[in-house]
Amino acid sequence: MILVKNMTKLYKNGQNEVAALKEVDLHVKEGEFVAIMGPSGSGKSTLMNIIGCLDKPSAGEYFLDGKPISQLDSRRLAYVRNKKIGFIFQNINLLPRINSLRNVEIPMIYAGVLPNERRKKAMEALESVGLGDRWYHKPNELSGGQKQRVAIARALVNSPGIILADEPTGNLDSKSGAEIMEIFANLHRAGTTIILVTHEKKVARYAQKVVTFLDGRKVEEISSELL
Amino acid sequence: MNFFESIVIAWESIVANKMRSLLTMLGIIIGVSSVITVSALGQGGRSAINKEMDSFGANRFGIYYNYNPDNPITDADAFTLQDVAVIKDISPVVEDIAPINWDKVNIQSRGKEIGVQIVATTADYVRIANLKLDAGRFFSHEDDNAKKHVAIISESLSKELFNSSVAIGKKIMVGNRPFKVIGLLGREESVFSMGQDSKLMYIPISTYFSFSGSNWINNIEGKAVSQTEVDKAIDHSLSILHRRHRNKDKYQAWNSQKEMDSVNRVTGIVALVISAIAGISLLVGGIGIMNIMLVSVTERTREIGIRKALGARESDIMMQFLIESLVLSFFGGTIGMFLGFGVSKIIAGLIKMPTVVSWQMIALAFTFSAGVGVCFGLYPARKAAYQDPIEALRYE
Ligand SMILES: Nc1ncnc2c1ncn2[C@@H]1O[C@H](COP(=O)(O)OP(=O)(O)OP(=O)(O)O)[C@@H](O)[C@H]1O
Ligand SMILES: [Mg+2]
Repeated sequence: MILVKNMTKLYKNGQNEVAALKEVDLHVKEGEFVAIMGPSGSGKSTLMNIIGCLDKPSAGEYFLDGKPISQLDSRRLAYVRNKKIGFIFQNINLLPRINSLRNVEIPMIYAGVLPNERRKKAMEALESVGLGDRWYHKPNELSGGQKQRVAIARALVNSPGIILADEPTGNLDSKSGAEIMEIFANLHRAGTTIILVTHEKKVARYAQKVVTFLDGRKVEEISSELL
Repeated sequence: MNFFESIVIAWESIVANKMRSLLTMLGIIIGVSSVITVSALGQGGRSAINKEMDSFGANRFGIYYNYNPDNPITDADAFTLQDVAVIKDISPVVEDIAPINWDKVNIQSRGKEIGVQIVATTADYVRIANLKLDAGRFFSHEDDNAKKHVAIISESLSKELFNSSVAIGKKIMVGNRPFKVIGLLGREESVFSMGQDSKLMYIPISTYFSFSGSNWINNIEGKAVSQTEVDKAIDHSLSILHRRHRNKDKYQAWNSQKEMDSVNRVTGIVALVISAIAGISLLVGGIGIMNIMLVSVTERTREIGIRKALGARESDIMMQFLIESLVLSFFGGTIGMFLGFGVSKIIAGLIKMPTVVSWQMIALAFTFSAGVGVCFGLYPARKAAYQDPIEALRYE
């Protein structure tokens, strides 16, 4: 369960301050699938980073499973990022020098999964995103869409309860985009909580709820059927 | 995350940046190889000196005059052959004792003048100085008493005079006196002589007195029954001499242990200075590692951000970078060690000196390079570990 209360995020840029988030409230129930929409610069990624425990709000509070995140020390935050949340970055963020398998293994390394099992799970995860034949390719040997899918496999591999996906279909054609969305739909069916940022209505329709942002404010929260 | 995992990650990063890794290791390679070279040569030199000292005789001592303008040495103070005999009779700790006079003479050989060192002594000297003969025999007490004109010569003198290896039985003219060669000394392998030994000629001291025009004995040399009895042997000898000559403070003594100690002190200081230099080069190597690790941390800020976003703890990141610098310096240490072996063998070959490589030294070099890796890796590793994840992710 994710609960964001009256959250503001300010960025100081020299003298002037930019408010990337303004008094945002958001409630995502366990197992819920939420899409976030809004124009560029409206604060979507900023919110995702805070929910993903990568960034801290300037004001307001964020509760995860009823506990305030501001109370956690760096060790517990690392645990949450590792076990509870699977994060798919807008700019993918694969490690450039190692192959797909090793990239997908990283979250399991920090989870203490043993090497043999790790390798097996990483292979399965890559297969599930349709990259069973790209295990030993390094990121610069993959297409944009393939990289995106490695990033998805990496986010799924520790079976987290929450998936945060920041434009996961941004680099994909509609066919592979649909394939990826099937993966999210299946995860949703299996009970995973999903928050997904997108610009496409077609993608947002996979979600139950669509939240729209404008200039750092939440301006709309509707059922996806109304889209 | 366990230790093995960290090594794998460190290894991946080292292999991915081969050139940088090599440059990082360079400082440690130079540091460790110079430590190994210096100490291998140092210990080798030391053991060579000690061996030399041992063959010289650890229980040896000598007595000579204490020249002092206020208390001059007179004929009455001069050592006599009887003094020597009495010391040997009375003192139970003096195993052998002999008078010894050194003299330089020029002799004619095939039209050339050759400077020769005459050593005039008694038959006992062969045991005191531990002389080894290649051929023939040393002179006897009978030769001495009969003032026989016999000589034992060193190898280099024999070469100079006779060219051929058969010197025994040949004649050497000292002035107008013919000396018959009865013995040939073995070559002295010495670090100090660098393969060249001196032109020596041992003759009986009575024979020497018969033509030198003086009966003064210049030195007495002896050998104590054991190394621990050297001081006592010296005490006995000095007090017998002073009593027999009814004087005091006219004589003084040296002993080989003292000489050995002072040589060891000097080599110890040299070793210390060189070790300090080698230590400084290791330090410089360590600073090199720190430098490049700091650059590497900055360069990999994004990687650190990604790893943290995926659940790496501060301790995991710290471990990763620490182990990377440890692995680098360990590898550098290993390469440096082999390089050091090679270099010290080459130098040893050039200057004809043995090298000694001890396990302690290898262990020390390894511990030191690992220590350098940890110490100088610590700061960059901490810097990496405490990065803010979102800042690190945004780093371009
Ligand atoms: N580190 C930062 N420093 C200053 N301003 C920032 C920083 N990060 C984001 N911003 C500002 O905050 C606002 C929201 O940015 P954010 O990345 O959340 O937008 P977004 O909705 O994800 O846009 P997009 O759809 O283009 O990804 C932007 O105006 C941006 O300029
Ligand atoms: Mg964004």
